[in-house]
Amino acid sequence: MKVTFPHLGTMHIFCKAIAETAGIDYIVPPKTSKRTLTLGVKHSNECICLPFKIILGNFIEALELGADTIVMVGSGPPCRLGLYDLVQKVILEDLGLHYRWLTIPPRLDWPALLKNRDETRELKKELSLKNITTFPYALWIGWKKMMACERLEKLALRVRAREVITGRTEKMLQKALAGLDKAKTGRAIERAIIEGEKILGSVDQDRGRQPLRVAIVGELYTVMDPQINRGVERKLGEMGVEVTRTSWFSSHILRSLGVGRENRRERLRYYRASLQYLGYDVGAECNVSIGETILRAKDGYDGVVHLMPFACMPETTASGILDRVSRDLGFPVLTLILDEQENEGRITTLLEAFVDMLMWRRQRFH
Amino acid sequence: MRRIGIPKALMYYRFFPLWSAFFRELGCEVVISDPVGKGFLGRQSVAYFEDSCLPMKLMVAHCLDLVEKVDTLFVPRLISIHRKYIMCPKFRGVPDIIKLATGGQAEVMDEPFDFRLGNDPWGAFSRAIGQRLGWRSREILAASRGALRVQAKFEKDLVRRVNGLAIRDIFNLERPTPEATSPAGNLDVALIGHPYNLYDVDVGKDVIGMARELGCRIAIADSLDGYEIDKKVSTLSKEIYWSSGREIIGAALIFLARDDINGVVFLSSFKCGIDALLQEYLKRVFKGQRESIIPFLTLSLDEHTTVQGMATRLEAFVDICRDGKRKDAR
Repeated sequence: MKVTFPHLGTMHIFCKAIAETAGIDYIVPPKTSKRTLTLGVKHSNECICLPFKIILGNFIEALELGADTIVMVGSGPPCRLGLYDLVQKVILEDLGLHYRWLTIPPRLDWPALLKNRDETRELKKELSLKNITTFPYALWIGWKKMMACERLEKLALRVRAREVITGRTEKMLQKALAGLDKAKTGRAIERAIIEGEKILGSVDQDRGRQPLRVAIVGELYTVMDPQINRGVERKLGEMGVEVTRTSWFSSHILRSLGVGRENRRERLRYYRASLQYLGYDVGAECNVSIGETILRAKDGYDGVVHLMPFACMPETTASGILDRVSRDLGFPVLTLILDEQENEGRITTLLEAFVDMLMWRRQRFH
Repeated sequence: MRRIGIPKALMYYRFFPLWSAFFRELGCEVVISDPVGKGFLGRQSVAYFEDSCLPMKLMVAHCLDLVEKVDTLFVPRLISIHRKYIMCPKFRGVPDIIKLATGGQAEVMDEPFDFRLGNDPWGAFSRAIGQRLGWRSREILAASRGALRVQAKFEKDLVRRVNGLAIRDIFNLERPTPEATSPAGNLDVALIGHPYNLYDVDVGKDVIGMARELGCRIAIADSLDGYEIDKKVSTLSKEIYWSSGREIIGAALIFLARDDINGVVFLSSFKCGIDALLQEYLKRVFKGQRESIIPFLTLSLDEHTTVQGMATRLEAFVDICRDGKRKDAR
């Protein structure tokens, strides 16, 4: 049995850790590339959202490499993510690829378990007792690694905006993450974090600089994966902008588990702020995108970048309303709609123009 | 008398009899928007839904058309119209977009309609609206019950209306339903899709009329048993949670397995999230079943769709269906 999973930001680091610790064979799909996207686009409808295409491409490439069990997160209504597996299974079958599919249900309830029954029964035969008993420990290691990744990434966001040599932080971040990737035990992870922070701290910084502050909001997949958003976060950082985002693995996992008071309170705050423009919970990140924009404007941020895949159902509503929010509050919002036609040059140009505009605004008002 | 405007878009094409009967019984004047025609994209406020599907954009255009003629716009927030399943998430934001687009020129009635809640969701919804208009509970109850009867009768007649009336008259309640004469034509074609794709002339370009002129008898999903659809869809590996999506998938699966149907046409809007996903699913599933030889046509609709383009495709499709039928008969 060889397990595989889709790419999403630094997800491969901790998914790998879980599989490794539990002693399960795994295959990390090749890094999302032009070929991945081409494969995904070729075998799907043009109006399906970009995450669907990329995940499909990841799976096809992983299955070509010899993986045979796909692990995929499920989600509930109203977003399309919840039905990805239904359609992707049919597509993979049609392509003549063989696989077993395991959906992690968003909520553990009877219907979800029943629908997953056949797959889990098969799986049980192949897992040894050791795999099952070490699994909770593996999950703990995975969680720790995920938090460590997030900590390093958050630090990098601050450092990048002040770096003296452009591109240095990114290199150091990759080095730190590679070190973390090698860590096997809980203690080793702690050491890797300290080491990583030291590496990031060694980047030459211009401490006097007062970078612009920009928040990235929008659909979580496009916000979190640098391959999909063509490195918006990094590009902004290297233009001297301090980037903030609220979409992290931990925040989404905690939310779906219903724990984490701080996290929930923050989300509720955004939701309440959005109510003056949007009278109901639309679902997914739509309300949070709007609410966060309003609150960031009040917090004195310089601007917001709103990311969404083409034809994303909830964010379409958000983009229409954000247009109005931006006009009402006099607050710059840049909406980037991403699809396979997107090229990096366009995004760079748009972001450069956006940052220039923010600079002028700052000089005029302050 | 209070004038209530019902935009002729989206779920108008399912619930118009219910809504109009309710308001009429409460003594309101119901104003319906005119067909928008071609020029609507020139209007600026359509930009509020620029990234959305055509029916959503038309909704904004219809509301702008109504806003000067009425006191109140009736744009309910449709969250769910089924006991268990929900609507497309875009419907949840529609009243807010309309409020922004009309700029507060008319009052927008945006009561949420969630069929999953409570024992009597329609009763609760009608009470909320009636009270907002200043009526007493007893009058509201009578009106809402009367409206339900009108809707039930309309739904029963819908298949006959589709086959017997011109598309503009299907939702014109003053036109009586024609008698159940066997409609002219020798080919049975099933049309599936969201109701606003099928019946809206601005979206679907009168596919129903075109198909009838080509000698087809029309079958629609409403003629099927809801229980049967549910049973069919429940066999899939994952629960489809959009009620319209379930209807489309279930109807397609049933129609394509039936012998008395010669062809199935699926009308989908460009950029419709539900259609994009389900279309791919249907395509792959039927590709896998080699024995299914019923022709299946997907028509993608957007603001650039022309009547001529649709007619060409439909003619070719009907020819293929005829061919298939002849082979079967031999």
